Amino acid sequence: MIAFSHYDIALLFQAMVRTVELSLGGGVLGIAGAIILTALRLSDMRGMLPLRILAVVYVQTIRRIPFIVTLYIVFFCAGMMGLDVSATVVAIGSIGLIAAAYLCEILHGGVKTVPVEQVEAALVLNLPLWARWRYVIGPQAMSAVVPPAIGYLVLFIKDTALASQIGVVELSQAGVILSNRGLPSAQVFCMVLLLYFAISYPLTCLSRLLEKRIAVH
Amino acid sequence: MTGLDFHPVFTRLLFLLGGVGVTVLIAGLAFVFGLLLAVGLAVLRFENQGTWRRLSRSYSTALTNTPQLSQIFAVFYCLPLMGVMVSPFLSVVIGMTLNAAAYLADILGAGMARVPAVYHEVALTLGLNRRQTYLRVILPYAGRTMFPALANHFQIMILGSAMASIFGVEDLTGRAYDIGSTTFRVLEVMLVTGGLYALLSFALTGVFSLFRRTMERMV
Amino acid sequence: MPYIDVRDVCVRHGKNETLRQAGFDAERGEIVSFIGPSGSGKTTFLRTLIGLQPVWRGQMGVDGRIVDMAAPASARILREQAAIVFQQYGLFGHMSVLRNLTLAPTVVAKRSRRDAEHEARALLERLGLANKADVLPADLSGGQKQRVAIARALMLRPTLLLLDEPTSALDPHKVRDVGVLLRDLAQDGMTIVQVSHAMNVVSSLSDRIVLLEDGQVRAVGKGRGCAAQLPDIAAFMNTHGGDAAADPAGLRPDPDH
Repeated sequence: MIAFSHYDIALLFQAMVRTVELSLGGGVLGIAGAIILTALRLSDMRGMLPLRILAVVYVQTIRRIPFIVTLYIVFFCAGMMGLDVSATVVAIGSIGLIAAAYLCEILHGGVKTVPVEQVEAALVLNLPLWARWRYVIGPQAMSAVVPPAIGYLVLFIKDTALASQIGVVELSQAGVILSNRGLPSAQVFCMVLLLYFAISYPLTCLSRLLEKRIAVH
Repeated sequence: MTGLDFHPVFTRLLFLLGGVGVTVLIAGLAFVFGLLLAVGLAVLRFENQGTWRRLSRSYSTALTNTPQLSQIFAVFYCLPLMGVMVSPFLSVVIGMTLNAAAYLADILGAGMARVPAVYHEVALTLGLNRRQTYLRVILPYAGRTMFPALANHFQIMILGSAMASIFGVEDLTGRAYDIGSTTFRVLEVMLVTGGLYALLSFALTGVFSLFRRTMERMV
Repeated sequence: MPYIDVRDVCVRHGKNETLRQAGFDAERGEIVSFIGPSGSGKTTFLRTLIGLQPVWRGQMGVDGRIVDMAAPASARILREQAAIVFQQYGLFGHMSVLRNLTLAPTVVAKRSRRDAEHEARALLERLGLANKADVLPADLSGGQKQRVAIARALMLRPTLLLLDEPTSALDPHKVRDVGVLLRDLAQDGMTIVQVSHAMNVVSSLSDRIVLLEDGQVRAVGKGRGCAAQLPDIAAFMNTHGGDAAADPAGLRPDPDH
């Protein structure tokens, strides 16, 4: 029933790899950005106040702008500054910018679930900053951070589909290309949806599993 | 590198602002129809043990694990094959409705699961039938606990509706793109557009919390 | 000069002064109790002693060494000489009892894990918790949690042991056990400061009683049986469910001893 040639299959495969690349790259950037933003938000040094406010404003604002608009802004900003970067890099950067804001909310919220008393107990033991995070705050915040973070990852894997709008040939764009080549649309889009599902569903299951595990404890 | 010039954007600001209405219309329509579908899906999930329940669950699993953009593409390309000719606007609304139903059914299902079992029994002893039980007892009770999740999803849908521009719909992003391609001031117009989306979202947050407070006061 | 000498501690919240020129002193091996109505600043005072509560002014002398409590670096120094047992214990729920005890010695004092574990096990045995080393805090009873918290504090080898409401969360029959333990520790030379609402425990345990009111020290009683001698303190205790002269827990050592 499907009239895919091996060129079509190769295109789909490459596009799928690109989608995974976008997700992974954006995810890694996002985690790094979220850690920096959260550190800024939690810092209690007096001189840091302007940066703290900036971090909160960034997190609150960027989550209220559609991904596609952010993508255009980063794309044309890069162009205007004369940066010679590929569309893929622009897309990864944009995903990273947005993921940092969302993951910061999750991370910040998770850290806030650790009771003040636990932090004080670590303080009076004279544990230095790194040890308070490594032994006390980190492990206890983990359960409130990891499942929603994976849940969010699943959400933004699907957002990578929008990278097609600045010319990245990822999975959804491959579907459009194949459909325009005259292949049967219904089958092409079924295939594309199935491939997304194959990437996303295992992660959804993982997130649910972790959530249940934590609920048991 | 050239400087930013917002003037061409500001002369077309009224046209751009009109897009806000289209954006809210798309998200609103898809939300309302999605919610209607979702009520059906959630009740199926709640009332049945076997196949229907599994089908309802599978629907949510399938649509929440695939991109909304590809779903709209599928609607856009496949409806004409079935002999149904619809406008891009309608394709987007249909695609977003189907997508929203999947997420909203999950939210409703979780909310209904939190309704105490006695409520069902009390409704029975009061002589309410199934339909009345859901409409008068279960959904209103669940609605209150689910309000934050529903409001949050509406915000997500406002952001998601920007995809309509890809299909040529003149929503906020679509109009921004139009202005960009006639004035060649894409960065400027997108910055303004981003600001408008943020303002819209903050305004919605305010409206929702006001709505919630008055709702709570009425109880 | 007294062994512990805290003077002139002031705490401000905006324009409010929650602690005004509070101070007390104590000799080595004494048990000091802070009492007073709620909101009088007892717990705030206790928390200043370990740098959990920023102070506007104040100094603390330990064995002749003076610490400026308002200095930014004072918290670390205060925590090197004192340890605290919180009202809700503050045990790390994700770590075994043993790891709770060895965390600070290995990470802060850089002692070897083996050495720290050896000491921790000995301490747990002394407190009757020998078989609890490897369980998680959630599996302990309230009294056991408290003894683990005390053991964790003792691992720091403090000169000053602070306790916030040590008996408030305990069953009545466990209260006596804690009293005996604190007495034992004091006899070994540890100076103990506690905040307490349990007037019976206060009157039978304390070598000194500090009555706080409105952030100020109203009265200080010194010596065993001081509760009954000072009118302010006796009055407060009698209205707060205790008998200043009584010793129901039988903790007060024989005066001739």
